[in-house]
Amino acid sequence: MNALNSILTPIADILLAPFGRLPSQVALIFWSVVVGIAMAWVFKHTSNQQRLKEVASCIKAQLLAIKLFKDDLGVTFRCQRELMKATGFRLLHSMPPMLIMLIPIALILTHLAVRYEFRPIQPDESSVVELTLSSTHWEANKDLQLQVPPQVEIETPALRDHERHTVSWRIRPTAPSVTPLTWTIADQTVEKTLVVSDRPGLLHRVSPQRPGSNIFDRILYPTESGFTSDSPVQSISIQYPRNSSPIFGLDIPWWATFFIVSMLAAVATRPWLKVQF
Amino acid sequence: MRRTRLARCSLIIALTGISLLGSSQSLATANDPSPRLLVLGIDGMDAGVLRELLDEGKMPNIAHIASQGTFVPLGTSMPPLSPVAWSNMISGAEPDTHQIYDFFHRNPDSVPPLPYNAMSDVIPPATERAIPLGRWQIPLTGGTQTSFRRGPAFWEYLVENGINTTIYRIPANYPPPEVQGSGDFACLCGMGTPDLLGGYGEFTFFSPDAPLPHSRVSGGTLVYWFVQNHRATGTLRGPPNFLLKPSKKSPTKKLEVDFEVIRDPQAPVAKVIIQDQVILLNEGEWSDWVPIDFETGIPASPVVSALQVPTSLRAIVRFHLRQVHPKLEVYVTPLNIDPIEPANPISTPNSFAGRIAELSGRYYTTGIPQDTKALRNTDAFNEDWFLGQCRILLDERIKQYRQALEDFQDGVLFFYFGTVDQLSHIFWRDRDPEHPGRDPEQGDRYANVIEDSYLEMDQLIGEALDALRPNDTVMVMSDHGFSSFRRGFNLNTWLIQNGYMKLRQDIEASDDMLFGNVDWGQTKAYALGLNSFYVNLRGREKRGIVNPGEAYTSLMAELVKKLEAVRDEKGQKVVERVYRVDQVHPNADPNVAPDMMIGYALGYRSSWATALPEGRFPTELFEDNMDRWCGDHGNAHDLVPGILVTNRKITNNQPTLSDIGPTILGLYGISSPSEMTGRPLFGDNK
Repeated sequence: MNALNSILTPIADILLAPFGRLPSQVALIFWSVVVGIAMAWVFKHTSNQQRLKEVASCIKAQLLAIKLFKDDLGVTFRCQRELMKATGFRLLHSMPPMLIMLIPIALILTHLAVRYEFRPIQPDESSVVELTLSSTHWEANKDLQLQVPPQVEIETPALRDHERHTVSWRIRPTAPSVTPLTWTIADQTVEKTLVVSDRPGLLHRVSPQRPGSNIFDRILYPTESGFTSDSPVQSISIQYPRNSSPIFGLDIPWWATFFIVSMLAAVATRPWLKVQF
Repeated sequence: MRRTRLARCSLIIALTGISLLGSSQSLATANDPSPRLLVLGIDGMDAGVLRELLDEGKMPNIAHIASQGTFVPLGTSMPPLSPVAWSNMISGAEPDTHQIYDFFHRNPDSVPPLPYNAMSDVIPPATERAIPLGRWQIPLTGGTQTSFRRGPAFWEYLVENGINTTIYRIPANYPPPEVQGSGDFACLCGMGTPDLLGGYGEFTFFSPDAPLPHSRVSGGTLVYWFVQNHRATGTLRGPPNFLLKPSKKSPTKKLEVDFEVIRDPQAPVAKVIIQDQVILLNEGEWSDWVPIDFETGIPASPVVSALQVPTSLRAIVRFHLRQVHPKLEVYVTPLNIDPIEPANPISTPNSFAGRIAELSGRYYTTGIPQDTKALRNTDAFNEDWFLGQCRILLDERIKQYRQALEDFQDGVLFFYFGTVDQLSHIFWRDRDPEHPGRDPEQGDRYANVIEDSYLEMDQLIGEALDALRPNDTVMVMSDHGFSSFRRGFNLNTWLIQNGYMKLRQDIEASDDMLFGNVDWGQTKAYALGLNSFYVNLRGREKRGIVNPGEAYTSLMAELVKKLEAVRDEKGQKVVERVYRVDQVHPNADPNVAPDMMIGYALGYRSSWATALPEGRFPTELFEDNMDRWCGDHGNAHDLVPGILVTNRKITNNQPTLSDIGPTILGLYGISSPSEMTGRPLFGDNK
């Protein structure tokens, strides 16, 4: 997963780079549209379009029959049964493209999440940094020191939690920067990127966690390489504030914006792509 | 040629006309901008203290305003208590118009007469009108908030006449008022605004030293917690779960939020984990505001939410890490209503509270946020802790004040500061060598706290002066002054000793009972509240025995005479003056107003057992006040005047609070309504 992430992360950076100076919503809407069109194209080429067209015609016919024979209860019920059947078929024929698109969409979502789910810490805003050690390395390394660049202050002594094997600090950056926080453990230096910005409305890559060996964590937090299972460090997290990316004054979650815009884009391009959903 | 010349002339005339028109408009804007009025309400600023500091040259900004206009003592209300005094100011009238007479009123229909908040009431959603869904219910009506203040409010007339008006935290103004008119109106509620539980605010203190499982003290709860492996878990209790049908087993199941605190084994640092939020605190530190959601737990909550029924209630709290080692102790503020997502409305318009938070951060929303009760009722807190909390609060208010000044374009802005009042209550003894409660160990450590708060207010006034234009009006005012609360008078004990009140059992058996020991069949009068005194009147009180008419008036005359003659062991006067409400406030509502108001002499106040709704009867008539609450103002009103400083000359040398409302209206040429009995102070000097 580390290898895949190390390929995908720079690609995502390149694709989003042109939007770096624009409000973050612009990139979200643009890429939602692109992904929507791409999904429609993939759908067209991975589904049985002929069968889907037949199902769509059948649905149309049943709806027309219901309208024409609305006084005949028998016909209405029969049409509704056929409608349900046709809807089931439509779902069934939509499954293969959906399964094909599942993994790419999930990867796109995780890369969007690190840019839209959280916002950077602002200068003079406090945050908690937490490092989790493996149980075998706890006793030997629990007194480890956090090293910070000059523009970051450490506000508390290390808090060692013997039960969860975590060490926590509260930090307060004083100036915007993208900078590593570092620790030295067993002659190794480990890092976690800290993102500080006084322009939180722009696009930033904000990963709240550098994951361990857990595959799901590596999918969810793809931008920093995960620690191996034998590493003394199991994960490092920074508490970033949740982001808010209002669209036209509505504070809807970024993922809802993504799905709504991509679906609208897919539906809008249907006549040109000649795709049947 | 002629045509060309004519056209040229026309063009020149037209251009000149346009430029003249333009210049006359900009001249009008430059020379005659709409005059603004800034009113700074500084609760408890005392005329005597201010005069001393002015004489010493320590209040340059107030001195500057006074040199342009006026500095006079401002006559306060009787009783001189904030809810009453500010209501006088708001309504431009006396208590028999607004009908607020104390912090607490009593219900004459209950036995014993139960106290209730005199300013407002919060009623949760009615459970009688609800759709039952198994063990759940969907209330058909929301909760209601009611203000008990009656009569006019000066802002109603300003807005009606097109004057934009912004009010920050004027006391006795909850729930937020709806105002009709062509002017813009924005108002943030102040004193009287409840916490999420509907009360004045209840702190929670978690400690391994607290009584098991918990102990209620006035203003909060002490909760025992067990610290194991350097971690402890606590629960914050919210209001009752209004979506859960009450059952016989648990009729009032409360909403709860759990949290965990983990400390370092050696270092003085701990971590609070609550609802996915992690807060790391050094010993002695306060957290920022932490939003917490009390979830009702109803299934399919998105569907229920879509029906406009809230499925969770949002509060905000601050954690204070009192101690890490050897005892892990955490203080949690009352459950303040979140200004960004208010569970109950706290501003007009509803979004105003949130807009303030967006510009200057979340903030205390309870009416009186200074936690004097935690200081007074627990040994864990000291004066430094209290000063730290007051600092946080004042810093919040200063941010809002600066923002309000920046946004102040026209009309009227009222901004309230309560810090001087609360610090005066707690630190007055430190400037009074004769106070019996002085702590010799502390010496003069806190002697300058009150003075420093005055000086800081002066600096803030200076910021306002910098922001004002030459033709703006500024009024700095307070609702009452202060005096030393050296001794308490057990008025109910006096009533027993003089035969006006009878107990069913011995007086020693009366502790911790809210008038539960009183034989109402033989009781003629009782005291409840800071200054209120009631006759047990037949036909009005549930168990009244004193007949209306002659018996009533002669009893009052007798009581006035006797009470004004009370002397302490040293022969000093205890009661300066007793005010008969039928004489000073003839339009008082008899079901609300007391029959008499006790104006204490300097140095005295009603005792703790009398003042607050305790209904206890100590055996002694007088007691030294050893409480940290050592300054007060429950005296005869002419002994504790407030202040009025304005950059205009006033025409009345003895202004009172009820003149302020009409004065504000008069500045804008608006006639006062007939209910306002006060008079404009600026006369023709508009």
